[in-house]
Amino acid sequence: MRKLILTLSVVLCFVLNAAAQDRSISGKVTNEKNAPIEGVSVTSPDGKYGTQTDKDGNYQLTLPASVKALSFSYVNFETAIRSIGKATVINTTLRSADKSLEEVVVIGYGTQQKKAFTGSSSKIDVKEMSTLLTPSIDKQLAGRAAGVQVTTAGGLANTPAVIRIRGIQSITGNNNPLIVVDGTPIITGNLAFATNSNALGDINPADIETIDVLKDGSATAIYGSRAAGGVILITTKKGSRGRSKVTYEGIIGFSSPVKKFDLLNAAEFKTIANEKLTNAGLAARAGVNTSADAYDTDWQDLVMNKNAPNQSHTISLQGGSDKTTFYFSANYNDQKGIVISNYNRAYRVRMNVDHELNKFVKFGNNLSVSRQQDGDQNNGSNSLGGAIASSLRLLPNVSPYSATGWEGYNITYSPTGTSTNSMAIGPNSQSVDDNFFNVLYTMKKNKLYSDKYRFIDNAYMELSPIKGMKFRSQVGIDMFNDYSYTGLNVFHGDGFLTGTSSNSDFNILRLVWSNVLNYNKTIKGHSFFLTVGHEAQTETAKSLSANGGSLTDPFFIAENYITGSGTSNTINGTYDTINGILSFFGRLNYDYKNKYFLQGSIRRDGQSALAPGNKYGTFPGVSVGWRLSEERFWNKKYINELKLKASYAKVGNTLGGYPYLTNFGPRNYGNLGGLGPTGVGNPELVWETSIKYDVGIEVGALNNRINFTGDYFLNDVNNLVIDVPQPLSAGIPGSIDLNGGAIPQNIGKLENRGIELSLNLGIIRNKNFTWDLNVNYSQVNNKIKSLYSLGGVPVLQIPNGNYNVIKTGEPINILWGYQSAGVNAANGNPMFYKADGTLIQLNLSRTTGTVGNFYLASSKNDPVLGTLSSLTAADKVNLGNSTPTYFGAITNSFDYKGFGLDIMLRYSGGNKIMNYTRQEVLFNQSFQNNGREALERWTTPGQITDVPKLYYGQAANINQTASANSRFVEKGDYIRLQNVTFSYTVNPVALEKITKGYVKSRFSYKVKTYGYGLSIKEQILTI
Amino acid sequence: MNTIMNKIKMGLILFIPLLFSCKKVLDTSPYGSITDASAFSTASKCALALNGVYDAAQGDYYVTGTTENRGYPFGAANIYQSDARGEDLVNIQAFLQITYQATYNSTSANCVAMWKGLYELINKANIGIAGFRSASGGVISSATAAQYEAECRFLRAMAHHEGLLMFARPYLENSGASLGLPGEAFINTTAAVNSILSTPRMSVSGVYDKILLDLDYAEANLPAASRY
Repeated sequence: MRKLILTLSVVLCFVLNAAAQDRSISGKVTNEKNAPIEGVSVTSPDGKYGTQTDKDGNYQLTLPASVKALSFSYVNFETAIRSIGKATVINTTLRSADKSLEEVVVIGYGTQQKKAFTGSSSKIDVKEMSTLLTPSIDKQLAGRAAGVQVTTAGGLANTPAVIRIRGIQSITGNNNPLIVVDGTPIITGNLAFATNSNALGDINPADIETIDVLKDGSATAIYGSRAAGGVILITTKKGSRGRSKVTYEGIIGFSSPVKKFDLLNAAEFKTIANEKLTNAGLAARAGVNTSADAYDTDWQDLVMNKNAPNQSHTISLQGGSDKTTFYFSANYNDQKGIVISNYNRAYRVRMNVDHELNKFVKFGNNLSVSRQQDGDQNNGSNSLGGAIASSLRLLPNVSPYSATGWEGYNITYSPTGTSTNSMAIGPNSQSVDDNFFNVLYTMKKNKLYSDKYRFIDNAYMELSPIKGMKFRSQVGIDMFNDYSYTGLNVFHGDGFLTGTSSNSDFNILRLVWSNVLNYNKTIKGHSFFLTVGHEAQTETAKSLSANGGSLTDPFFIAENYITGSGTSNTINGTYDTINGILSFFGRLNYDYKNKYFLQGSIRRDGQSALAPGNKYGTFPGVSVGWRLSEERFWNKKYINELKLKASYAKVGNTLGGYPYLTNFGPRNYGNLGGLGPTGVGNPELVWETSIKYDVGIEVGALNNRINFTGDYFLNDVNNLVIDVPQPLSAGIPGSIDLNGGAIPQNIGKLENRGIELSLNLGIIRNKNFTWDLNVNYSQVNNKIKSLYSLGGVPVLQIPNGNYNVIKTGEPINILWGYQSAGVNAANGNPMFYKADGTLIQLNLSRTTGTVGNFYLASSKNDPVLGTLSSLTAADKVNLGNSTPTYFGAITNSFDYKGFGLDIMLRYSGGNKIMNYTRQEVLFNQSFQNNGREALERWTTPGQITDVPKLYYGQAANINQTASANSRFVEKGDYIRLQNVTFSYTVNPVALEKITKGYVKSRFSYKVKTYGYGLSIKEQILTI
Repeated sequence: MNTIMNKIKMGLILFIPLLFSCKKVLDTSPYGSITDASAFSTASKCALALNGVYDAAQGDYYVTGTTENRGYPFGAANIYQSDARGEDLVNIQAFLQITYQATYNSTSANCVAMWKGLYELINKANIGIAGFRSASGGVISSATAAQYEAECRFLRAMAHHEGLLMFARPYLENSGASLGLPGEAFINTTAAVNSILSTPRMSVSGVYDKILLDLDYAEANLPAASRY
């Protein structure tokens, strides 16, 4: 589903200050070329005093002695703040604020000037995202950086987005980027027991100062083992000296689904359902009971939120003195999902404090405490209670309510007579097939709830003993606690007759200690920057859950499991030490006169998941850069910045658990206890490694009004850990069908290669009107190079689920299934191609042959059945690539005298999507509702259509459910309007004059639509 | 400057040992399950491991995964499938029809389950034998270890015998020179896997020789009466 959100956001900014005696301050404002700038706004920080520069760049102001600083600002230049000491003349040079190469890039364990940076990284514009209504930043990263692909599933408020940087790097290992907040890698993922949840939602987007995405090897090598999927570095806001600033940000929005599935109404359902039955030789069942009331129910409408209010309020305080600075923020965020029982509420508090003891010692602490409450409904694609799954199938001619039903709902529970777990049959002769429930009742009466507390603290100490040297020791604590509760109603649904009340408590604690030494030295144009460090990380997860069934009273499903309320109880517990990591790293940056750059880094990581003797891996990286534009021969007139760079690095991928150990579990022999192996480990497992190559170019032209970066990258992943199925005669536990149990082995190679292009154009830069264009394009081509060998024979493909295979020479997870050949116009039989191209048809006629068998077909309109044939797994073929090969975004920003308009278009393509919902649900052949596609089914001989004849009970054969079928494979290409934001910014100086006060405010009204729950277009199997 | 440099040197000297004490971050072992490192570390665990081999003999998971256990090789499934192959019986269950009419082939689910069950038993018996040998003389007495090993070897012999009955030609044909069963070992390394896959199938007489070796050892080391 897609959501439409209207938001109204108000940002108010109050600035506090005090007053005293007057003096006259004057000066001149110039740009970097020493040319004067006219119209620069020169103001005191509280906004009380101000003026503008004249055409020579001169200004003059009379200020009281209490005003300690002056602020110089002008559109498209960075605002400069100069403190007023005893001087009476203050000149300033303003630096251009175009996305110039003057900015600073956050790299691992430090920062570097962008012009000196030889790796590949993207800086995300946080200001553009800060006014969008999202509880967490992952969903809004889409389209904002080349090479970063973000997909969100469904319209649920609390599922994390899936982020892939430069393609899929591993088959069984981790593909997610490492997310580092203020130097500490934080816990991420969907971790709660009872509901979906997003651990990244504990970071308030309003607290974020910068986001840098490190993409290539040389940038990520400093993170060694965990960097195979890239690194996202987040820095939160810090305090500021000299003045306190209070900011309130409030956003209100309303969300509604934009698109629902197209289903049949009651009359159409009656026709289609009865036709399925009569074609199968059975009596009609829909609408046969004419004495009962008939309804036309839109089940999707009943379960979806319309105009659901969402809101977010943040109040933040930023300030400090000479020695101490602080940033404090408190936030409340309330989001509703697309389904009525789905919500996410977050309460987030942050306190960042930095203190300088003296010029040698500095220390600080960043503390974030948050609570997230999530409500959900059973949404699994295979679960009967799932809201969407049910609403697509439930019969439209019955009502969810009933005057005579239990609690006013249409369910057949009766306290005195016999009860069944279904709805009343109403106008039909039976209730819906496959035991689907009255989803409205279960959504309102069941409770799936999780309450999560998160505590993230980074405490650091920084010593600067000598000039150029800085030593920083930092301890990070990340604690996640989930209290989950599931209460299932006893009268109807999954808890029928017994009721379920279950609690679980889940706790993860991660500790990270890092020590980094930086040393900076410049000798005659040669600059050296050395970083040396050490990091240790450990993580523990434990849980306890209790489940009570056979509840004595349905009252007990409301809040928590209560002792004695259930007669059948089970208890479960787990305790795991998740990967411990110990690392030593070093990096040296060298540059000569900011013209030639060389960087080398090396990291040695050990992880606990590997056997002793294999625990360590070494990860080196090197990169070079050349700023052609600084050469004497280069004419900077048109192209003022030109940099070429290249990098090579080796990074690793951490594993979880203990794959090198053989596990034993309880294998009781009758009533005697016993132990038996449950899985076989491989003590020879080593690191999964990825070698990353990158070459790139950065161009700045027309004084940085045009900025272009281009990268070509190649990632070679080696020693992929794959669970290799062994022959059955090896006797390894865990076998399924003809595949023996598996042992994890380092076998397998894959590569990702592609290009990333990013262009920023300042198309129009006038005093009143500006137009900026940002385009990014990424292309990622993935290829499996080799898998494993069994007995010396290389295996060319392995299955990955029912719809995909991993095949050498192809991209990962290609769709692998049956090639549909349409419908036989003479008899409505669905047709397929066998692997050798033979045309076969599935017989749906009761008068010839056997229904459900395949026969040869001579053509697509010959009613005669040929000889008996079959459609087997050997007939499956490659139906297309399932991961996008290209993606990007185009953003236009306009500003006219304070009115702003931002339009972001996102596009993606090169992939095919197996529309599993169309196959399993919308064209089912049971007594259930169907999609409107069913109206085009074959009915008369000679009719040419793509939709086969209806036949009750033959869905498995007609649709080939549980396999991919090319009839349901759709192109995944799209271009979508992602955000439209209209805003108005009040000119602070004008407002100050009008209000004659010390209120500086900015109002914006934003209308925004975006495709949020991409459940149709983005059903991609992600790994 | 000097005193500051000295302070730095002192700080680093005190600091570096702390860094290396972090090594215990890497030396963790799972709490949630017993592993091969500890499965034979106490006498009670050895006894439990032996019971696990008996359990593997009565039945292991069916071909559908890890949810149902029907009793292959020697448990319930063995009994009713054997009945269905016997005489004085009329079958009215569609499920048993292929056994009753002998229309099964090598990919029929029941045959796959039998094969899989036999080899899982053999592998677990091998893991047990290796474990008991390593625990012998320490955690458990050498006499106990020999007895446990004898029980495992007996079960292994039973499995080989049943395998020959089900999947190989009779001894009388070619005097046992026909192809018998694939070999097996305690598989937990890539090298072991590769060596097994490149070992040719044993002949029927070769398998009977193995059976006899196992039975001889069992005869010598099994106690006169059962533990129960």
